[in-house]
Parts: sequence; structure tokens; C-alpha cells
Amino acid sequence: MKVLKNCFFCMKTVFRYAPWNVFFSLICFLIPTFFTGLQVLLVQRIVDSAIGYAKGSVPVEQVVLWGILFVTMLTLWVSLQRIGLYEMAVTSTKLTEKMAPEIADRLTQLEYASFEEQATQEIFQKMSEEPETTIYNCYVNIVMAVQTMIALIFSMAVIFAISTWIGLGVVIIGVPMLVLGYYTAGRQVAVTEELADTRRRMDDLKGMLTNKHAMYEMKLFGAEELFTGKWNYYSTKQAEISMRENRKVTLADMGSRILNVVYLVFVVSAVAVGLLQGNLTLGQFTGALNGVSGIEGKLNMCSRQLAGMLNYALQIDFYVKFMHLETRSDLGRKTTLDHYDIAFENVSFRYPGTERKILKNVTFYVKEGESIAFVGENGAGKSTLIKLLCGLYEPDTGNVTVGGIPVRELSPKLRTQVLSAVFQDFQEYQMTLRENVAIGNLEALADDKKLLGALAHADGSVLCEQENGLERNLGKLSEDGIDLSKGQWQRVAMARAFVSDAKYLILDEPTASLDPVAESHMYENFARIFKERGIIMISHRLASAKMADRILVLDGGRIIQTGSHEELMEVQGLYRTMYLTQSAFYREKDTEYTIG
Amino acid sequence: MKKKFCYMGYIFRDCHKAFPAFYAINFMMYALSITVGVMGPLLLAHILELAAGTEGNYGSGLGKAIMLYGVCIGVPPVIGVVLRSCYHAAEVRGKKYFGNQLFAFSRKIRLEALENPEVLDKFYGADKGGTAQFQFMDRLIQVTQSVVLCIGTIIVVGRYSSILIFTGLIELVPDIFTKLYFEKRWADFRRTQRIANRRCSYFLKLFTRKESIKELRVMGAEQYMKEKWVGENIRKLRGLRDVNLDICKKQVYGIVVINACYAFNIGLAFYLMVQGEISIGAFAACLSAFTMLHSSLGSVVANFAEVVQKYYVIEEYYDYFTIPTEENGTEMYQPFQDKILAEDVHFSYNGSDREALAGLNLEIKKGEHVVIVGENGSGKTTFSKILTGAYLPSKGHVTYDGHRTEELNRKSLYDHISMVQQDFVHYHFTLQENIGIGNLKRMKDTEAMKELLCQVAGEELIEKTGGLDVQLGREFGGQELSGGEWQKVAIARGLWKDSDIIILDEPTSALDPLVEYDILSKFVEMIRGKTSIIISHRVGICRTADRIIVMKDGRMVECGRHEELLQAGGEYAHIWQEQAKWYV
Repeated sequence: MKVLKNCFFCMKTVFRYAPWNVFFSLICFLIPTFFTGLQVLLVQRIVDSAIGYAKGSVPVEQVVLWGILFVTMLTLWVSLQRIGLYEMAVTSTKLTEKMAPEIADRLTQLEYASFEEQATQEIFQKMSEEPETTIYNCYVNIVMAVQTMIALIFSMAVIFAISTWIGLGVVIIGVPMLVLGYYTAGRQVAVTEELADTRRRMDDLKGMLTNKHAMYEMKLFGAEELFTGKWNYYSTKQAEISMRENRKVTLADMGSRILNVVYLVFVVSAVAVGLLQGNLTLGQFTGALNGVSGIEGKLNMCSRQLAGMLNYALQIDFYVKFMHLETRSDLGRKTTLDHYDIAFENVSFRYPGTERKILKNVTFYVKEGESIAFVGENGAGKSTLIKLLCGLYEPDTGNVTVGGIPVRELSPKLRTQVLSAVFQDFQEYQMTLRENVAIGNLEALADDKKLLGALAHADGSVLCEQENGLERNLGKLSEDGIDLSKGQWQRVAMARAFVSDAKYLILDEPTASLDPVAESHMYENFARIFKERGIIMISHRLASAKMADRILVLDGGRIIQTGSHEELMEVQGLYRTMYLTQSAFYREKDTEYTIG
Repeated sequence: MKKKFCYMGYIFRDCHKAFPAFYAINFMMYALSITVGVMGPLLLAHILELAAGTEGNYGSGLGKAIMLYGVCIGVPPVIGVVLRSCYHAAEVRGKKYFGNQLFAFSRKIRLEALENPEVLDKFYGADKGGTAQFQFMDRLIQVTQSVVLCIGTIIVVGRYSSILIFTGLIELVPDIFTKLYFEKRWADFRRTQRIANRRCSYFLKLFTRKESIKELRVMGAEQYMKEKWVGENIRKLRGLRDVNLDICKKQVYGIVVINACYAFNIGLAFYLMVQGEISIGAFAACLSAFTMLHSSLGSVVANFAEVVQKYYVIEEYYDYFTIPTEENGTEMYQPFQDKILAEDVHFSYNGSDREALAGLNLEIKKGEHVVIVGENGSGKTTFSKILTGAYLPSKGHVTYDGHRTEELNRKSLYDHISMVQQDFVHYHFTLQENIGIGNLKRMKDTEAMKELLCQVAGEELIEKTGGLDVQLGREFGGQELSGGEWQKVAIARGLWKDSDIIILDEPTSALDPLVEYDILSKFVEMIRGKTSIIISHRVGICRTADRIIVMKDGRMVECGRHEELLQAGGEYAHIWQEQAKWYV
């Protein structure tokens, strides 16, 4: 049922993208379906009339007429097929051309939660394997299977006309042959599924082979044997399962071929008897033999095409699923705000589909222009808090508001005017330096002064002093691209923050891979430049939290301490413990603080 | 031209190794099928002649001929079964054989080569190519079979009239050339498409990964990025469409020629029959022979095109094997007693004109705890790779007690070094294997491993995963760890190996302060007795170091103990001040 539904979906999709080409190709493929049967008829006529002519009972014109008809049919046949293929090719390009933007659109419309879910990640993984090709292949297979089936039915009718028995025979062997073919296809799909995990593991191992860090570890630790062992294990497993399946498929194949041979023997003897008894003309005899040996191929092809159709129809499942993913609900329309105070009120949250509450009844307020820092151990809920603030998730209970309006009701544009962010896992865009910086504020894309200024603030002026300046390609994607070190990329990411005019800047552990000097420069710069604007910061390095007006200490999804650095240092608590531990490296041994 | 076919020998050899019976089975089956194919029209002519000649009074000769003809029709399906299962078996074996060959070779590639994105491209090219060998062989055999069959048919027809040989042959010519040309064009086109493809899949990745989506949405840059992606896609497709449509159009011309030849042949045979040059039976045989010729020619051309296409794919497979492999020294490494010395070491990465190391000189004594500090890009990590012998200096030497790394057997050297990389690897294996990779021989020593893991990560990690033999990585149905937890596992892996030397490259970057402090202070205990080299941004740990090496622009600028360097007031003092001022 799913197969039929997917086939229908596939046809609908191709029709939507290239209606005329699909229409023409269908015509071009469906007309020739009658030609196989026609060929049998015409060969029979040619032979009969030629023999008749040789005996003097048929005029030469008639032979020539059949001959011309035959050749015309063949020419038309091939030409139509060619035109059909051409239309198919056009369909394929149109499909790719129009589907890509639509997929892109769709992706931008998805709820953010989808991107963190494992199930959707698998769909995305498949989306990267050219969904348009799969759809196109499915379409081709549908057309071909239908074409072969019609041709089959028509040639069967012709054979029925020659001899009922032979025709009946085709039906009798045809059904089991198709069933066996369908079984084979089903097995193939089942095996692909059975092998999915093995293949994923092999891909993972292959990924390591091309990962310089993994290769380095593998060599240094002398762990080649482990990897090779694993690889061999999985490749042998894959081969064994495939072989086991092959045996089944071969048996099925053999069954259908035996049916076929039995039938052929029957046909040859039947027509021979007919010929000997004078019930059949020589023309009919030749025609029947030709037609029957053709049908064998057709039946085989038909079951193979049905198998292909089934296979592809199941494959496009991921695309169907993709098109039905939940769309985002955070595209609010609010375009102006009276003020920019942030409020979290009784916010609780757990990730969709999980049990654990990440945030428990969190309440806090941030005044416009205030800078605050979140401090806490791994897993305390800091990053989740930021995601809620950015409107990526809806809280389970409570409200996240900016200027009194729930953050998901702000228009995307307004939201970028309120918030800008540098995340720990910031992106290294494989584009020009100009674009990399301007991502922070696309209105400044052509504003060289602003971009250079932002780079300077981020200690990254060096980056644009080289050839091509802002236009140089970063990353390894372009041939002339230059890959930056992690620290240099970080400066680029920082520059993005400086180029933005947003009211608040979110810093989610952005300095983890900076060297010490650069890190302290960065903090000084932040403190200086964002004096007027608010900063919301997460950091492991407590030193940087010191510059915030207020520090919020998170533990287990709750805010357990609030206050300035000085205030928090005066009470025994998590903050004090953490700070003392970290600064221990830098203080002389006989310190006045004691940990605890 | 020479390069073009230089891999043919490899293909034949490898296919033989992967599935020895392949050639024999194919040869027998195809010989049989050719015989049957040529016999068919002959028998038919014979039958028709007998039938037409005897006017209803058929002899036993006819019955025999018809039976033979039945065999001729019945044999091909049987051949089909054998060939198909043979081909499937070959595919499965080939996949395994070529996959293993690829895997085995990849292990040996020089690490530096992996810095080059082309190598990645080549790998994926080769990965695709590795499944094409048997397809290539199969199509090649089919082409040969079809050609032989065509020639056989032409000869049969030629027995009736020699003109028919000539006209039959003409049909062969036109399409082959166009097909050849197009295959070449496709292959060239695909090569140029690589970059465009890479760019497109890069964009797709940006739009499907949570990290990038999060950033793009918050920054409001989704729309911009989407337009770039769509633009890239359209550019890529325009090329594709041009080639594709051009080929389709031109193929139609080839078809017209073939059909004209076909019609001409039939007409000629008819004319010859009317003229009385050939019999009615011969005419019917000619008709069936021409039909067969016509369809075999189609398959010759189609298969030949595929042969060429597959060859281009296979080329990528064998091209991969020309990537330089790791050179190895012959001298066995003996644990060093005195010191490691770097003398005027230079190194630059492929494709970069900047030297990552520019004349580095330094000395590490046995048992010392050395900390290397320096700005990003000052060459710290590169130096650590030179030290282990994974990279060889382009100029200068690193010596262990006077033995140069390039002359040492690399494996014997590796055996004595352990490390924790900055970009440590998340192995999607079990927890036990993740740690055990450090020393496979002790993999089964679960008690010791648990103890080590508790030291590094506390009880919680084992409690969370629920044991050592738990699969890690969510994609493989296992437990997912946080960044900090993965790092702890990597540290445990580094410590699991018994080694004289341990290199720790930013070992605590993903940990929170409490844990960082905890681990760093334990390190001192755990690496006692080893020579250790710690690369770190956190100058805080320098105080306990025997020696601090400050690097800048690929050179060592300062060297000494914490107090000495602070007093000297140079680069180190500057870095220290910058960092310490935030804490005091």
C-alpha cells in the first residue's frame, strides 16, 4: 500500500515540476507499447506474403507494403523512444533545478527541534544523497514498468490470436514469474535494511580513514589491527548476508527460468504440430516463435522493473517524511518593541521526547543594557537557557519575553535586532572573509569600513592584510581558499558579533580555543565596546564572568546564586569554590583564600 | 593514450584474485550463447526451406530441426540464470575485495597527505570506483559477445550474398563514435563538477546540522545563505543540462542512420529474393538475422558506452593508489636515555607558503615535564607531530639520543609515545574499545581500566554508561557523551598506554573549571616517571613544569622555569600577566 502511495506521490511530484515533459515522455513511451505485438503481426504478414509472392499468388506491391510498414514502425519505435528519453532528461534537470530551492525553503521552515532529533537527522542524511535522483529513478521505473506491462498484455493478445493454448501458457507462467520477481525485489529491500547498520559502521570506519586526527591516533597507538579487524568483520558480514540472499534470489530466478524453458518447449512443439498439421501458416509459425522468445525477455524485464519500482518507491519514503516534518511556529509578526528588557518567568523545560527536566522554574530579569553571566558546571542547563532565549524552543511552562512580548512572537528580523550570538560551536563558513564577517549583520555586507572595524575589534586585522583582503576565500572548499587555524576562525566569529548592532550579544563560551593573550584582549574589547549594550555570557573561565554586572549561578536547572563577583565571593557557595579552584593556578601557594 | 589503458592489467588481475572462477564461467556461458545465437537463424532458414519445399508432406528432418530450434530458444534462459548468479557473486566478492584493498592502503597513506582536500576527493572517487570493476568486466564480456554474435550473424547472412556483409557492417559504425565522444565528455564534465558538488553538499550540510542552523537563525542569515545555495545549484545544473541535452539530441542522429541501414538491408534482401539470388528460406533467415543484428548492435553500443564509463570510474580507484605512502626508517627505536633534540627544524604544510616551523631548536631531557605555550598558530601542535615522527621535517632533524626520526622504524618509535590530541577522536565503539585503543594488548584488563577511568572521570561516567562494554555514539544506538565526557575518555585512552613519552595537546579545553583543576593536578601524579610534553593555553599549569618552552612564529623564543621566565620579563611574563590579571 505504501508503495502505491509513494508511487502516486512520486508521479505527483514530477508532474508538478515538469508537467509537459512528463506528458510527452509518457506519450512517447506508451505508444510503442503496442509495437511489440505489432511486430509479431507484421513479421508474420511479410513472411506469408513473400512466400505467396514467390508462388505467384500475391502481387509484389503487397510484400513491399508490409515491408515498408514494418520498417516505418521500427523507425517510429526507436525515434519515439529517443524523444521520450530526451524528455526524460529534461524532466530530470527540471526536477533538480526546481526541487533544490524548494528543499532549501522547506529546511528554513522547519522547527528547530527537528534538527536536534536523531530520527530527522537520518532523513537529512538521506537528503544529502540527491533526493531528486531517487524521485527521478522512481518515476523512470514506474513509466518503464507500466510500459512493459502494456506491451506484454498486447503481445499476449496477438499470441492468443495465433493460438489460444500458447496464449494461455503465457498467462500461466507469467503470473508465477511476476510473483517470483516481486519476491526478489522484496528480499532486496529487506537485505538493504538488514545491512543498514553494518553499512553505517563501515562508513564510520571509512570516515576515520580520511580524518587526519583519527589516522594519527591510529598510527601512534598502533591500533591498526583493531580497525582492520572491525573493517574485515563488517565487510565479511556484509558479503555473507549478501551471498545468502543471492542464493535465495538465484533459486527464485531459477524457478522462473525453468517455468520459462518448459513453456518454450511447449510452444515450439505446439507450433510445430500446428505447422505439420497445416493449422498454422509458415508466417504464423515464425511470428509465434519470434513473439514468444520476445515475451520471455519482457516478462523478465517486467519483474525486474517492478522490483526497481518497489525499491525506489520505498526509498523515496524519506522524502515523503521530509515533506511532512513539522514547520516552525516561531515566525512571529511583531516588528517593534517599546523596550528591550528580557524576562524569564517560571520557565521549565525538557527536550521533546525526553524525561529529564533541564530547567526547573527559572525566573530572572535582564534590564536593557545590563550584562550578565551564567556560570555552572557542565549540564547545568546554560546552553538550553540560551536556546530558549533565542526562541529556538518553546518553554514547557512559563514565559520568555523581550519587552513584554514572548520571544517567539517577534519577527525574525526584529529578533536579530535584539539578539546576536557567538556560540561555542560557531561555524566556519567556507566563503569569503567578507561574507564570514557580514553574516553577523548582512546589511553591512558592502560596508568595508564597518567590516574592517569589526575585524580589528576581534584582533583579526591580520586576516585581511593579505592578498585579496576581504575577498579572500576561507576554508578548503575553494581551490584558492586558505584554511585558518581554530583560533583565527574564532576571531572571525567574534568579528561577526562586533559587526552586529543587536541590543544584546550572547557569548556562549566563545573563547575556549583562544590563546591567553588573545582571550584577555577579547574580554577587554567586549567590556569596552559593549558598554552601552547588553551581554549575556556563558563561560567556563570565571575570570571573564567578573566583568558582568551580575552573575547567575546555575546548578541542576535552577538558579542558586545571583550577584556581582564581589558579592558572591563573600558567601560560601558554588561560585566561590569554582573561582578559587580556577584561580589557584595563578596565585602564590600561600593564598588567603581556602577552598571549600 | 598510454595512461588511458594502463589500468587494464590491474583490473584483469584484481578481478581474477577477487573471484577466480569468474572468467571461466563467463567464457563457457558466452561461448554457448554465441553458438546458440548464430545457430538460430540458420535453423530457422532450414526449417522454412524444408516446410516451403515439401508442400504439406514433411519428413523427419523437419521435426529434428524444429526440436533443435526449441533447444536454441530454451538454452539462453538457463545461461541467464548461471550468468546472473555468477555476476551477483562477483559483485559481492568484488565489493569485499576492493573495499579491503582500499582500506588496507588508506592506512598507509602519509598523514600530511590528509591535510590536502584533494585526497578526500580521491578517496570518495576511489570508494565509488571499487564497486565498478566487475561491472566493467561484465559489460566488456557482453560487448565482446555481442560483437562476436554480430560478426557471426553477418557471416551467416554473407553466405547468401556477399553484398549483405558490407551493408551489415555499415550499421556498426556511426553510433560507436558518438557514444565514445559523449562518454569522454561526461567523464570530463564530472571531474569539473566535483568542486561544485562539494560546494552544494556543503550548503546542504549547513542547513541540516543543528549547530549551523542555530547560528544562522539567530543571526538572521538563513535567507542569504539559501540564495547562495540555490545560486550554486543552478550554476551546477546549467552545465549538467547542457551536456545532457546535447548528448540526447545527437544520439537521435545516430539512431536515424542505424534505422536507415536496417531498412536498406531488408529491402536489399527482398530485392535479392525477387531477383532469385536467394531462396525464400534465406530471405526469412536474413530478416531474422537482421533483426537480431539490429538489437545486438544496440546492445553493443550501449554496453560499450558503459564499458568506457565504468573505466573512467575505475580510473579514480586506481588513481587513489598513487598517493604517497608513509616512508619508514629501518633502525629500531631504543628507549632514549639522555635527550630529545630538535635542530633547526623547518616544516610547512602542503599548499601553504608559510612555514609552520621555521628553524626550531630545542632540547628535552629524559623525565622532564615540559610545557609548551604560545599563541595560536605558533607551531605547537605541528611540533608535537614532528616529535612523534608522524611528520618529518623538511629541513633539520629531530633526534632521540642522536637517532634521527626519519631513520627510525616509525612503529617502534610510536610504541613508546602516547598522546591526547586537541582534536581527539570520538570512536563510535564500546567504551572499553575507546580506551583500549591506547594499548590493545591490555584491552581485556577491565579492572585496571575501570580504576583508570575512575581516576580520570570519577565514578559518574561508568555509572552513566552502565559499564565498559557499552556502545558509544547515538547514531549507533549507543549512549551519547557530552564534549567534556568524551575528552575524559580521550585522556583515559592516552594514559592507558604505557609509554616513555606522553604528549598532551590542550587536554582540558572542554572541561569545566572544577574538573580541569582536578585532572590537571592528577596528571602530575599519573605521568610521574614519564617524559611529558603538555601544550596548553592555560599558563596556570606552567608553575609545576621543569621547563617552559615559549613558541612564536615557528621558533622557540624563550625557555626556562616559571620563576626564571617571569623575572626575565619577556614573552612568557607578558602572557602570564595577561592571564593572571583576571584572577587577582
